[in-house]
Amino acid sequence: MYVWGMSKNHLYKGAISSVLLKLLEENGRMYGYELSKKALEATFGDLEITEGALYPALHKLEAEGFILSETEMHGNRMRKYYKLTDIGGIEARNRIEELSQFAINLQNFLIPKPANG
Amino acid sequence: MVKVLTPYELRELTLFLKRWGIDHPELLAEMVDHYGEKMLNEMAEGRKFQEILSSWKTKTTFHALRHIQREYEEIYPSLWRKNQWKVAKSILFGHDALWYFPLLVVLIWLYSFPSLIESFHVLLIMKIIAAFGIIIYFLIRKRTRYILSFRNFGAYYIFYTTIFQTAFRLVWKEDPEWQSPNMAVPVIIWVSIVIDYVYLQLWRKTLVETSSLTMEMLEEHIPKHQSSLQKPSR
Repeated sequence: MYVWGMSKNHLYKGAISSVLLKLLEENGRMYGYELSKKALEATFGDLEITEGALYPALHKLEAEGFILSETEMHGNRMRKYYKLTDIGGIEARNRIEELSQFAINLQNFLIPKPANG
Repeated sequence: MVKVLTPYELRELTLFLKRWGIDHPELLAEMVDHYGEKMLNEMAEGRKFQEILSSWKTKTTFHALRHIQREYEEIYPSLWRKNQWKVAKSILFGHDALWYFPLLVVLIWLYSFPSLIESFHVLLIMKIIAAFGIIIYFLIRKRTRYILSFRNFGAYYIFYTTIFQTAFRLVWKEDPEWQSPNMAVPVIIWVSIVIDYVYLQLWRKTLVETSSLTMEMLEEHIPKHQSSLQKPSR
């Protein structure tokens, strides 16, 4: 369960757009609120993407051509869905690779393996 | 069944977002959906609409919304160009080419009949008058922001001013009596039809993206009929 104060948002700063690309790669078409909920679930409550971070990141990705949007009526509201473009898919894979490498390096640095011999 | 906010709740939410700094129609529509969904989730936990809305009226939300609006304003020109290009591409290379190129051929063929030359001139004048009539109507009614952005509308105005100037220079200045055939006439009519079609597509796209019909209803009709609004019962 997510508890206020447990958020480690600052650690994820700089990785938000990569997280969004990853979520879109896994789930296909998603809307803003759904993305923020999924990010929270996927990180076990660590990453709470606020509106102030989510929408500028999405709009920037759209302007860069990595994602595209389509709107449709949902109940009595208009809903904007985002999905990856072809180059967005490549970018998503590159960023995931980059982040994974970063996580491995960070782990090696924080918890060094005991030297053999 | 999809859970929805009542018209009263939707209007209150829209007004809250507008007062808290979201100004751009497309962004407003997106934020209404985001906060609407958030509201419904919190209401499902037993909280009241007004209580939730009041809890959002904080400096943090204000700054967040202002930040979103500012970022969007910066990025909008690039998104706008992408949208224009997308529409232009779909029209230039899509199935629409199946009708507008044959249309040009048909117009040129019809223009070869001497009896129709004068009708073509009248048609051209009517097209230009209609275009400027549309521009004046929307400017007077101040409807452009829900139909086309001022940027789009400015481009439409420039297109038609150019068409008018070209028509004047190539057609009427050369032949004030409208007697001799001038191939520029069917071509100019065709260009103006294609431009109108592009704008119709853009208008439909903007209409969908901004949910302008909903917004018009919320902002114009509902306040005139306050009594018909349903206060939230939850």
